[in-house]
Amino acid sequence: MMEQEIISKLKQLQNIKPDPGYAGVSRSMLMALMQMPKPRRTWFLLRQPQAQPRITLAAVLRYALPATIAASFMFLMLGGYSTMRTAYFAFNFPGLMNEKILAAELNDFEIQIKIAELQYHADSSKTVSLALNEAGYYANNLSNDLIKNEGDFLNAKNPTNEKIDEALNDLIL
Amino acid sequence: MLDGEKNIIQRAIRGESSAFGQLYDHYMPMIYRFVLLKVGRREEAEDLTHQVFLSALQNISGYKHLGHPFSSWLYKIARNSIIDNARTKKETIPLYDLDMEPHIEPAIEKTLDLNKEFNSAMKAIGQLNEEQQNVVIMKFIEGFSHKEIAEALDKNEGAIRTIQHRAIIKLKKLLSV
Repeated sequence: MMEQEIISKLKQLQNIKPDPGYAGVSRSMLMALMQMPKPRRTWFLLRQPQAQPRITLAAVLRYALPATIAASFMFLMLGGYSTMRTAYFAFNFPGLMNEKILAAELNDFEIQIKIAELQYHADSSKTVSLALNEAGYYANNLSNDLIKNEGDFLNAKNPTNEKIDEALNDLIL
Repeated sequence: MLDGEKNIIQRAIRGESSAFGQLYDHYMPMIYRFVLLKVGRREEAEDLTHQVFLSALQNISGYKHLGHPFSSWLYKIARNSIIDNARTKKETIPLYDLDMEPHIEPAIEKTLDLNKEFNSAMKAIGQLNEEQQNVVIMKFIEGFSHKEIAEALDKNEGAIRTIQHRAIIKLKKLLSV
């Protein structure tokens, strides 16, 4: 067959036309889409099944890989911060990393508190006894009337006064 | 190429639906023919053709008129759509095994021996490789120049001529049987 004959056969295929019904519907859809405002158009296009992105390797590399890398980076940062913090304390405060050492230190701490309390009470007793001595010294110089008035208040027959005892206890303790 | 195509494209980029409509009316039949001759099924060709213009609509704002006809860009989209469609399909049916009923202009139908002429040409094209199909359809059916075909297929004109020559030799053998 001559080349020209082939070409004329092929040219006949120019008579293939799309179905008018299909062409009309397709055109109307595209025109309607074009008349939509862009945000709505984008939303509408995303809902079209033809516009759904196919899960291809390119799509995975484009979207999933950066997200994975970012998540890994954040994990490393958080994990790294925690590790660094642990390492810092382990280096500078080795006792914090050992439970036995920590328990021993806690015991020492409690003893220290008790010692401090005892010291406080001892100091307080000294202060009170000094105060009483001074009070007794000055009491010798007080007038008889004043002492008599105080005597009514004080119950000499009963050497113990509960209120004083309480006050002294509060002071000492 | 459409008269005043550059201006029409600019208006379409700005969002004028009437401008895009003009482009659609002019190029849709040829894109449809191209797709139909490649995939062989009318319904599939209709879906893919619509997809081609949908893609064009989505991406027209990024289109730059660099002296190439708008059709080159559309043909690139069509080729890519056909390739993507072929990848997602589980089965491929050869073109010449199909019972196809494409729409033929009524006036032509009377003078055309549809069963013989049409089917033999379709089958012959179906047995060419992809590059040869593209060149034959664009050159002999759509009437593009070698330069326009080269731009659409990202090849040089020399390569297009070579592909055309080999396609004709193969078609001679197929249509002479």
